[in-house]
Amino acid sequence: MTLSPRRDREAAELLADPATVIAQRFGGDAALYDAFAAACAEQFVHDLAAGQAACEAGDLPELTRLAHNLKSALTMLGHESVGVLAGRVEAQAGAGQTPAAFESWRALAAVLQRLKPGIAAP
Amino acid sequence: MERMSSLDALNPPALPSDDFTTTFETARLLGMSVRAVQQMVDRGDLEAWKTPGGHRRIVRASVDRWRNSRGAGPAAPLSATVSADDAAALHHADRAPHAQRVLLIDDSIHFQKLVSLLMRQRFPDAELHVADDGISGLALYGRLQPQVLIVDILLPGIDGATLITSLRSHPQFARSHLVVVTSLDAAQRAPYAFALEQVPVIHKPDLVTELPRQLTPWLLPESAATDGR
Repeated sequence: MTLSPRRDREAAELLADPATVIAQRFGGDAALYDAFAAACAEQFVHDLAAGQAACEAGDLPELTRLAHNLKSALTMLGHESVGVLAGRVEAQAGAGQTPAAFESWRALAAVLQRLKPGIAAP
Repeated sequence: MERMSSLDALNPPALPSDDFTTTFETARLLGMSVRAVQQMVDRGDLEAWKTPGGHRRIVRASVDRWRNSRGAGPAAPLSATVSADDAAALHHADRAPHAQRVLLIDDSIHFQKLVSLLMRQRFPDAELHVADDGISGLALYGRLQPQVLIVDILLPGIDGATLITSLRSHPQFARSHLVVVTSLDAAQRAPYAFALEQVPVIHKPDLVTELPRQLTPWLLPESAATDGR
């Protein structure tokens, strides 16, 4: 299984090795991987809005929860490096480091924005 | 009187006793453990006050509102002659677990979707229900009596380990198969070890390969499972 040519090049660069991810985490089921990726891309829109709202409200517990879930989803998709960034937001927000957490969130949000169209392409 | 919730204007003696329930009655009505109800009261999800002896009295209307907000009907009164053990036994006998019903309690929409895709593919006859948090999960568990319960550890409200501990106080829980899913690694799970003994734990990156293996004996007939379906 290889990624569709329609996938965004930037997203592909952030993706470690899709064939390995599909083989190791999806039992070789590329269709399931694609369906999950599409669902995640759809959800990322809501996650971005929720993260922005959490930053505006100073809601660190919500930011922690959101970043934790993003970290898991991104790792599952094979976007390990972006998952690490989400993990940083989770750790900083969980530790009450407000400015650092917000700055890391902005960085994560920017990457997610770039990643989203590539992930969503079937 | 110790105030326990957002019920600022209530003067308990002004209301008939039928307007209140005990923690036990409320637990029975909502299909939850007593501890879960106590936590709901402490968080202000249910309106309540304490007697001079320290017992919680919960406003029945707030119980009905909570149930209605989750799609259940109003709470029926519990006969005063039914003991705690009788009520548990009646509850147990009336509601056998559904053979193909699965309840997932996970606040991650991403993983809700992954489990849903996986279930549709591997167990098309199973009925998947989803709760976003521990409290809703407890309520749904009581209502659905699922054959299989899939629980994440980190949840809003009450965490998965506390939820599992609460569920273990229900007699009917012994008839459900529990699977824990988590993105926490083994070291990070250590604080929750008290609830995870003897429980299959699936690390989320392994979910696609491990979950069907855990569910097959519970959701497929023996012949289909051995045929490698």
